[in-house]
Order: sequence, then structure tokens, then C-alpha cells
Amino acid sequence: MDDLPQHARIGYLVWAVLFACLFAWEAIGLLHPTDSFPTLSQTLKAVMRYQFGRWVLFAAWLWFGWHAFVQGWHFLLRGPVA
Amino acid sequence: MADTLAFVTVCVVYVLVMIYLATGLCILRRAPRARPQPVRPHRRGWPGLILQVVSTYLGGWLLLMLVILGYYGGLARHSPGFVLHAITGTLLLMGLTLPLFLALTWLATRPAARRRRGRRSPGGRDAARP
Repeated sequence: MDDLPQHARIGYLVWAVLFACLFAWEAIGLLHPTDSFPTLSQTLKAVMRYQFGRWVLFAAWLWFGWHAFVQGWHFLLRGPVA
Repeated sequence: MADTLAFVTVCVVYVLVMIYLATGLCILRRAPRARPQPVRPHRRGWPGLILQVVSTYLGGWLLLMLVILGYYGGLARHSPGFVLHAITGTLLLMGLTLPLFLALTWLATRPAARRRRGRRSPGGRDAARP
């Protein structure tokens, strides 16, 4: 854990704001279930009607899953043994 | 050079994600209630589901490999170990998730679960099939 780079707090704050915007828009879409405010899942479901859309989304999921869970992984996601 | 490449990569990924979502919005506006297109419409039940899932797994993996080999192998010239790890790592992830997904689908759609759901909602018997 000691070799983690030290980032400025503003970097984390920007990520937090970006995710807050994403969740806020999703909440607006869920509160107003009309076509004017589509949620992310509605948009993704529309693309997934087609085979190529499913391939693209699965490729993105695979890429994220590989980065998050497989690359440099430890058994049952535990940290490196001291 | 590496910084420029990283910045261009982020921009390209952003544009591709936006194109993907914009396509979804266009489809949603054109046909809001349309159903997904199956790979083989005449195949139903377990054979249809397995065909659908396997074709999605293979198609998505091949697409990802095309991007990884094209970008990391050809353009950015990453180490061959990274590309090799991407290939084996994604295959491992697929090998872990495919049986798990099929097992969970079987648990959710087995006759006992279907009967329970059918009792709770009239007419929901057929809807529970994979």
C-alpha cells in the first residue's frame, strides 16, 4: 500500500463530481419515466437489441472486468501477502 | 509522445462511447417498445439461450481482441506480455462467468422456481422461461 502514488485531492473531487452528475441524471430519468429523460439502462437496452451492440457492451464489460479483477489479482481479491 | 497518445486514446474512447449512447437514443426514439433480436429466432428455450450467450461471448471477445491487437500491439507498441495477459485474462474471466451465469439462469428458471412464480403472478409461467 505504501507505493501508491500521492494524488492531489482535486483529482478525486473531479471524479466524485463526474459520478455525481451521472447518478443525478440517472435519478432524473428514473423519476420521470418518459422518453424525454432516458435512463442509461434504457439507452443500453436499446443498443443491445442488436447483436453488434451486445458484442460492444460485452467487450467493454470484459475490458473493465479484466482491469479491475484479473490483472494483478490475488486469491479472493485480497491484498498482497506481507 | 506517450502523453499525447494517452490523451488521444481517452478522446477516441469518449467519442466512441458517445456514438454508442447516441445510437441507443436514436433506436429508442424510432422504436421505443421493440424487442431484442435473437441470433436464431426459431430456436427457443435452453438451446436458444446457450446459442445467444455463446455468440455474445465469442463476438465480444473477438471484438476486444481486435481492438487490443490493433491498438496495443500495432499502434501503441505495448509489451507483448501485456497483450498476452489481456488474451488469457479475459478468457479466464469468461471461463469463470459463463458457467456461473448458466447455473444462475437454471436456478431461476427451474420448474420449482417457475411454479412458485406462477402462483404469485397469474400468467407469469411462460415469462419465466429462458
